[in-house]
Amino acid sequence: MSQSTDIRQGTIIRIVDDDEDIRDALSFMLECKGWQVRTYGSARDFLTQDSPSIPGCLLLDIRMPDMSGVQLQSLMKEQRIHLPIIFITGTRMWKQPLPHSKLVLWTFCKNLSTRSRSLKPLSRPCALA
Amino acid sequence: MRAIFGKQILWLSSVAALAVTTAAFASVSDSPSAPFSKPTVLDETTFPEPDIITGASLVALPNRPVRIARIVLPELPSTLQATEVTADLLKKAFWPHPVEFETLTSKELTERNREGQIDAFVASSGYYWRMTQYGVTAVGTLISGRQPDPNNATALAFLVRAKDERFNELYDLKGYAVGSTFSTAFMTYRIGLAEIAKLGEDPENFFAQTVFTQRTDNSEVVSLLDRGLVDAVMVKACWLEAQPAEVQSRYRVLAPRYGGVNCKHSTDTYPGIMMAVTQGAHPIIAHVIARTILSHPLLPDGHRWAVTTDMRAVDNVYRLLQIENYAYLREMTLQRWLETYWQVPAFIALLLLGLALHGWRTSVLVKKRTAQLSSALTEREKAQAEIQSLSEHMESLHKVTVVGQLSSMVAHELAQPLSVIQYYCESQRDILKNKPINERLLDISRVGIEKALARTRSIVDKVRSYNRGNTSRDDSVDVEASVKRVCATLNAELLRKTSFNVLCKPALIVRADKLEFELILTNLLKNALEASHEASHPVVIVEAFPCGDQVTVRVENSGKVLSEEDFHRLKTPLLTTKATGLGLGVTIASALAEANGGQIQFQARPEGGLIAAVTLPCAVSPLKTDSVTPHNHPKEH
Repeated sequence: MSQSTDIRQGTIIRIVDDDEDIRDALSFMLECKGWQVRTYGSARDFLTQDSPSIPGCLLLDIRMPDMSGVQLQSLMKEQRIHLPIIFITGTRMWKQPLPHSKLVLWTFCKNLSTRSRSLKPLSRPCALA
Repeated sequence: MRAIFGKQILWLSSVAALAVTTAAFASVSDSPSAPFSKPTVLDETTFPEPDIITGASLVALPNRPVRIARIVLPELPSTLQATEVTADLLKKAFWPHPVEFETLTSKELTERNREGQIDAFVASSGYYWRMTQYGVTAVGTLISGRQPDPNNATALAFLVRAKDERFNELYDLKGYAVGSTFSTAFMTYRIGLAEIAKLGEDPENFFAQTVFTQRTDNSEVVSLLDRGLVDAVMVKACWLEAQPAEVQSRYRVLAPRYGGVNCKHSTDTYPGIMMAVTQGAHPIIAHVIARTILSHPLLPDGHRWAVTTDMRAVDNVYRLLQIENYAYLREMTLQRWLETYWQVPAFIALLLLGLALHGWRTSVLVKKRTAQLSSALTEREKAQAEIQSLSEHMESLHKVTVVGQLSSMVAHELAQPLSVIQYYCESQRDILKNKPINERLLDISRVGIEKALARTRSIVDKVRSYNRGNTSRDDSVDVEASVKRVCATLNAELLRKTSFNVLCKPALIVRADKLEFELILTNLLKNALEASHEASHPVVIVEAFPCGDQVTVRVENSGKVLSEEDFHRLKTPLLTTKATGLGLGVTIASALAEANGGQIQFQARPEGGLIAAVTLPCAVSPLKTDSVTPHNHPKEH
């Protein structure tokens, strides 16, 4: 608990999801846990408005209109934005391992999953990564 | 018949021989008689002496007068006079034995004859021949200068008006009216009919009408012609020749013949007036009559008595007419009927045989046909059952696929509010840990959960109502939103490799069921993605644009060039067990589009690939535009 308190300082968790309800709920939950959160309705908003210099991670929805999470990931790689990405998805249609997905925050993911076993949607992508 | 005939001739010859001998004998004994004057008054001094036979035998005669009858004769006056003179001669011959002489009708004479009340009679050869069945014997035939041959002493003449050019042959009279004396008259009627029969016609129906005067006078018959009642008349031959030249010029003998009788006549010739003794009459009477008439050479107008030796012509008349002695010819015995009309039973038998054959053949055919039909029916039923089972199978496949696709869509839909709820629950856990409890945060999470639950419930309700089959399909569905939503569910890996373009005009609203519309799009897009993946440069273009009262969503994909067969298979529902894959998805999409009042059209893309266009009715009807526009307005910005 004390370790995580340290991390929460000076880091921002970015959420990119086109579904407003999901966005709100997820950010609310993380804020309740003491994280600083920024939400974006689309990949484009994230690219234009986010400040990549602030460390943290990105919770990225795979399926989005206009630009999907996967497309954003490759774009971020091109722009050398080395922000760890945690993919989130509402469905279980995720079968193939993601390319270029080695950039994952193991510790962050581990902490989240061990602390709350009920967060299945989160735990699955973590395991895959 | 021939035997009887021969016998008859024998009789006649014997009578003739007897007559000749007695005549010769008489000529020796008789004093030469004075030239004949009309002997209406008996002159006792002219009576011949009884000869040896008669002299001895007259005593043996019955104690009653000798009865001689004369039939009513439609003869010429001179002939009638000759018969009367003959009667007077006979009265003298039998003297002092009384002689009764009377004139009777044919019927009366027949009656008397049958009862044996007549000893001798004078009648036509026809009547005599009829009476031969009662055993009468001819003793003489009247001849004259014009009719010298006793076998051919009389004939009949058909007279027509001299200027009537309609008739030249007897046959020409067919269908016309004729006149005659009596229906039983032999010489003025029956031999005329016989002539018709010889033409091969039915004599009884040859003439349209036959008028009988019931009088003996031929002149009266001819007067029928004058009065225009008939077209032709039958009279005795020689009647015309006996008339004054002025009368003769008025008439003409039809189809005149010559010979036998020395007058113009239209028929064959027959023996004339005959004297006959009846059966059982005393031989002395026959003897006296024969001796008297044959030995008296001269009667008025050149008449004499002679002997007929050929009655075949007369007999033939009766046979032809099938009357009197030959009336039995009309009574059809079975044998005669069969002989005459053997064709009829033969025809009937043939007909029956034919019917039986036909019936047999028909029943065989019917059996055959029935068998064919029932087998055809069975086959058809079988085929129908097969189709039924196939279509049931198809339907169940559809259902399975639709349900599968729906459930995955529903799962996708549900996943979002469920995630939301999970996030809020996780939040609440943290909120409750930090004392004092931040009620504002708790309330936010509660509101969030309620909202998510409402969304869940609406999805569940939607699925429930869809399952119940009472889908309204009247919802206004935003095409752009639906396309976006569907695109989000597509395979990300495939999407990444594909040049995927969505050109959606804003504010396009279709009237459909949202779930079904999205299902249609899902199928089309999924197919397009998968198909385009086969090409080296996968391209998928989604376009949505208004098209009159409708909205068209066009999904174009690159891919291999479709063959005719592929294209055909795409448009026809697949009757295979292949439950997955392109075909069924397309048929489901088509069925759903039709259910929503639209349709899907496929078109081969020239550069390879396929264009699928789903057309659905536009939700914004012109009347509703005002009320709907404000609602849609914000979305345009």
